[in-house]
Amino acid sequence: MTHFEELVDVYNRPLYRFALSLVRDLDRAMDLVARTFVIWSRQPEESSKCDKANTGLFSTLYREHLGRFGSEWGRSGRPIPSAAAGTGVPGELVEPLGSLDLDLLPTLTLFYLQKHDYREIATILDLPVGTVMSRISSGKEQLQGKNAAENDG
Amino acid sequence: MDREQARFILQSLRPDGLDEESADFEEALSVAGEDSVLKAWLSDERKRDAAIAAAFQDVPVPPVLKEKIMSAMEADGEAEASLGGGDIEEKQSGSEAPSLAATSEEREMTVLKVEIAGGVNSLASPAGDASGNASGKTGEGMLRGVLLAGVLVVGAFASFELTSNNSGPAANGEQTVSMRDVGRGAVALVESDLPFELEGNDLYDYQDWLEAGGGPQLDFDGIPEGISEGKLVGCRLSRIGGLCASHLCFEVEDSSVHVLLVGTMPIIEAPRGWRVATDRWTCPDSGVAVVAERYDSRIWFFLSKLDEQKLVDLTTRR
Repeated sequence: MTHFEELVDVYNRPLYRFALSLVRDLDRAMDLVARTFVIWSRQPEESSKCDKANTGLFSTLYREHLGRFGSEWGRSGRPIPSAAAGTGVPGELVEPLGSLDLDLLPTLTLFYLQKHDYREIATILDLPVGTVMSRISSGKEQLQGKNAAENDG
Repeated sequence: MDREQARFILQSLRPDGLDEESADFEEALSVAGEDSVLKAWLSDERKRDAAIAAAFQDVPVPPVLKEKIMSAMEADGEAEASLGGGDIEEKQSGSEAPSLAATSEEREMTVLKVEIAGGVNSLASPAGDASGNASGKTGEGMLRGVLLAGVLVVGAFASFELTSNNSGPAANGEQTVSMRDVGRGAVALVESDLPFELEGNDLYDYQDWLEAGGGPQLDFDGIPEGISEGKLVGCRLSRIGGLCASHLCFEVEDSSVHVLLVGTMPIIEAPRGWRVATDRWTCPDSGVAVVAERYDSRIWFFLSKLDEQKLVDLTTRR
């Protein structure tokens, strides 16, 4: 197995989940991940460094998402496919992320994917560290507010 | 550190415990250890976080994903090989590296050389003037205009060679083609008056159709309002030389305005969405005016028999 294939093995799943959260479309998420690896592979000095791949691949995907889809697809309102089917995990635990404010969604998705700490998230999204912490806090409050409203309703 | 400060910091603590040894959380965790209210909150918070994180791990990943990635890599490798090692890449420019300033919003009139090894001849428009009469603006003239206007190119793009119509072999022996050459191919395409394979007035239908056909993916935001407000006539997938182009046609002020999108190799470290070069000219034989805009990984061409300045005005309405 080549070094690149190892990278694909390690990162294709979390990258896909991040992409799916952003574009909310299975095919587009796959396309975005594939394109991310293509772009990454064109940077030999980067792709040879595993330690950079962890943030670099996600950063590349996010930038590619912004470049190709802009805000258009983020407004589609389509829910993230539920993870609940057959797993016993309540679907609403994932679905509420789809209702988050757009500026909070990438931060919270990366946070819950747990591949990066908040400083790395800041690097990936090109945000100040304080902004990331603030968005994590705001996003969690939004999620809890929506869950509380649903429970009351 | 008080309770609220600690609570704010601890919200960024990952539920898998990986951050617990981080010095960033040391003090906040210490506060939580001595504050029963905060401790109870933290316990609940981590349970909530863990549940959401676990659900994320259960989001199914299509089994074909890895295969799709490897196919994309293979296709990219073949494309690169067929293009002689670089789909479209920018040449190194002179020593002067313009500073990072004011380019994304200004309408710079640079003409950049882009390279596509091979296929140059097929790009030449049968109706095109080899010299590419640009309304009296030669490449040098345009470059002067750029400098006089004080429009600067971002440092990251300083590697571009500023030139105009050089479609001949480059100094290093590679065949090159300029953005102007691709534009000439676009003029020839428009002049061939081929029928549109899809007609209607729904951009979203077009987007899906073009994507399914392997065309460059359209970003609607990339189409200037001055054009997109017109009536959509139709779309088709076209080829300009060896490049696949998504081709839309609008009717604007009783004239056809063609929009062609060509994908390119991404410019490494180019800020997404930034325009890195523009060009404009009118084909002297056909009278078709062309406005070209180069972004980090795509080139938009806008073509019409409208007056060149009128077309420029339409493309600047965003």
